[in-house]
Amino acid sequence: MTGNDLKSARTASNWTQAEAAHRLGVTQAYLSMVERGNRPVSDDLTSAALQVFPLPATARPIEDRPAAKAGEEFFKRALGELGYPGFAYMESQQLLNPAELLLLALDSEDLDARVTEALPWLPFHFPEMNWNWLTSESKSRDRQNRLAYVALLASDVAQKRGDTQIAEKLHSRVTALERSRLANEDTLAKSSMSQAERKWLRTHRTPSAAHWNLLTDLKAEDLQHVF
Amino acid sequence: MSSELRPPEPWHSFLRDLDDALQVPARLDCIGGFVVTQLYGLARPTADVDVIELAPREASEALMQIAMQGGPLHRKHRIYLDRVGVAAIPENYEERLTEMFPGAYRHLRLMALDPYDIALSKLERNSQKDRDDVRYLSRTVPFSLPTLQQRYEAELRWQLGRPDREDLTMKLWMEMLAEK
Repeated sequence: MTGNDLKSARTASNWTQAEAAHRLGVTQAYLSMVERGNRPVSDDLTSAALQVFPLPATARPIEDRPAAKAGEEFFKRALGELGYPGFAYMESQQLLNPAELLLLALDSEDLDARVTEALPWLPFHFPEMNWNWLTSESKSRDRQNRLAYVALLASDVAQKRGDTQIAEKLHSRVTALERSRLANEDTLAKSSMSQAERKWLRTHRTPSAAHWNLLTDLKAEDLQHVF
Repeated sequence: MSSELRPPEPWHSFLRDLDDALQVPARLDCIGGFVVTQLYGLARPTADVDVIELAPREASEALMQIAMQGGPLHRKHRIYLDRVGVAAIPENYEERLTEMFPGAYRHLRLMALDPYDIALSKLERNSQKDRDDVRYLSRTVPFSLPTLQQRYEAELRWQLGRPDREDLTMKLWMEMLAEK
């Protein structure tokens, strides 16, 4: 979160700096410096702001969480909390930034197929997520092909729904990953896939999945029901 | 397999509300994730009850109105009834139905498809989640692969729009399920 985000949230709530500072538990002078960018937004201030203002999930702090610790239940509850219809009925205390959740899922060895099909929903509903961080972290973990394919699926769904602006925005993210495309064959977070499925998918996957060297048959037309 | 007398929440409250809305006995023939989780123990959540048949016909319209996606019961419980109209299912499936949670509701009877029929209903779509469910059922029941193949050939193949394509899918499944 930036000072500008904080200022936008405050003005959208029609609060003066003094009122907001009181609710956030800081001084007006400090809040003024943060809003002008003269001080960083600390983790404590971010947490307080998330409680006080109706901020979007993309404003949540991104934590350094290992994918190995995030089990199937974790992903489902976190997706439900963000509003994903398939898991919306599950109770959750997980308050994750959508970009962090997407990276954790993409960096998993074995996701439930229903979690995998939920992933394009994240960039579709949070196109303003922190792409610079997501792209850089994905590359450092060799997950850029997975990220590109998920963004491509989200873009295709947006196109089919007539959301041209979102489709173009997401497609530009895919294009930006083209130069770092990996040549090694991978799955879409499904390393337990049987040899028979691997062999079958090599001939039955979409041209886009083949382009991104992924063994998956997930297609935009399969995803209409999850949006 | 589940031996509980009624389903866990939020399913029980949802189905009880559905039951309260009924004036006459009604039968839901269920398929998909709800059956696989409740009857065969797969630990995964599902947000809907897939129904292939709802009888009598007079009750079905009213039930779908209140329980379908976006309806009042969906808004209340965040789960819903989904009428699956397109899946091809082995022709004699009704002879093999099992009642789930008998006696749990006044008017509502929940009938589950036989596991081989559930598996074969997923053949045409053959998505990753379908293959995962079939693999799970195959290990849990456990499946006899010759029975699966025989039921496909005798009761399903003739109904399919592209049987040649589904023969290949069936071949994939048999190889996949035979793998350790």
